[in-house]
Amino acid sequence: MGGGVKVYGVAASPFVATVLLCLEEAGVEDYELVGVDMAAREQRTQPYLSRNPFGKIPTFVDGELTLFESRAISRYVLRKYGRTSASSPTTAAGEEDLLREPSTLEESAVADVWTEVEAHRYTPAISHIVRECAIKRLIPGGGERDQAVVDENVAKLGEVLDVYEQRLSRSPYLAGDSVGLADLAHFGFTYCLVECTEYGALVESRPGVRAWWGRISARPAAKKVAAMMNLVLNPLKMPSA
Amino acid sequence: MAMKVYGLPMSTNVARVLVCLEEVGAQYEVVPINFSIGEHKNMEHTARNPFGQVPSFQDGDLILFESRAISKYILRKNQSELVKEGDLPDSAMVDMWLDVESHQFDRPMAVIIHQCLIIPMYLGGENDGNVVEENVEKLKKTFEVYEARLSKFKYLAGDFISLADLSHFPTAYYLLATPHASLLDNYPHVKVWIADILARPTVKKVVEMMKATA
Repeated sequence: MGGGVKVYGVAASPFVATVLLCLEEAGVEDYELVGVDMAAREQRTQPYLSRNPFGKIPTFVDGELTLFESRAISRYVLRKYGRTSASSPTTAAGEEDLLREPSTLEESAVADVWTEVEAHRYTPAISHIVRECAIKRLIPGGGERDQAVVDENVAKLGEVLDVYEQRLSRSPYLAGDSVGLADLAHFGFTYCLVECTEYGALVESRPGVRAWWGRISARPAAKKVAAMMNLVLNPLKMPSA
Repeated sequence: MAMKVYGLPMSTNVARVLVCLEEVGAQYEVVPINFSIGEHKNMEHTARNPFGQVPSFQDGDLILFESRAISKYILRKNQSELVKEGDLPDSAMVDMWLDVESHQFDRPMAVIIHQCLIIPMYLGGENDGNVVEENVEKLKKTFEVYEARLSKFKYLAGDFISLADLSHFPTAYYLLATPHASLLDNYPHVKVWIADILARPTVKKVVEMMKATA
């Protein structure tokens, strides 16, 4: 299954991580992560541009189909390879938390709502914090941290997380009772925030959000992708207080 | 019971939802939300949209926000060809180009509209030329990609019109009202594609609603 599936990019990119996470959750074993030399701006030149004219990562190929935009790719992967309640009708022990495609139109719609929230509100704020505090120092010539940008986005992310706290004190996942793409799309950037910056308290200080993050990051697929990200990110080992 | 959309049609995000309702011929009601009295931040509205924005949407017991999520729901519920739900590769293409619209077109356009229309017309101020310039450059890069794509296919997701195309119309309508409309002369396929979308009967109807509430 999944022969000929390729993801172009680097695992340390949270957008690439979303796709990898969905492939792992869907049990696709033989996908290939094809490295892109970001330092040499390979993504901005041919032949990369002929696959993704916007010159960003990830790009995804499955046979004849080429896709970009991490959430569109992830939805496709889950629909094509993922488990549905039809394909996994009985729940084996330890599989209660299976990532399944939403089974009703209404569930799908609610899942879409929170994926939009992640794209429009969560990620724009958190990506600035992660970039300033964790990514810049990994890139030669990345420049100094801009604390004003960090502070502005910490405030914005805090407001978003206050809304998440309300939601997550009423249901275990953003998507509803079961984990979905709406939740998993948060993994990459949240991992970077918590493990590679000093702003993990944004998550840790909100009980509902903290518990939700605990559930997501404990998933075997999440741990596998985290290990792939760690090869580049070099998480901070914070001294204990 | 008719579906309800909370907000005013002049909002691009509300207009996006309205065109989908028109496309499927649904019964619906537009419930105005008065920003000038802070109605969008009151408890009744934030119970529907916790970010205090528009649109929010109600269909029976289901309450949604985020215009593209609402749009997909309306189209899927009515088996619209605009989302190609039964065809996995086609629906993935629609998803992909809808995300492109949201990230590569709407973001720079929202800044340009705010700077070139909202600030002078509603806030009585002057726009920031550098900010406009920066976002016009981003828009040009997007249009370059669109031009190449639309030279090969009639619409973004392929040779079929989809939500990905229609999702552009409210913002494209406002672009034509700014000094930067002439940008389109450099991208002939994009210009024709926008004209095609704006000529669609459902789009024309919603544009009239947008004008009436501006």
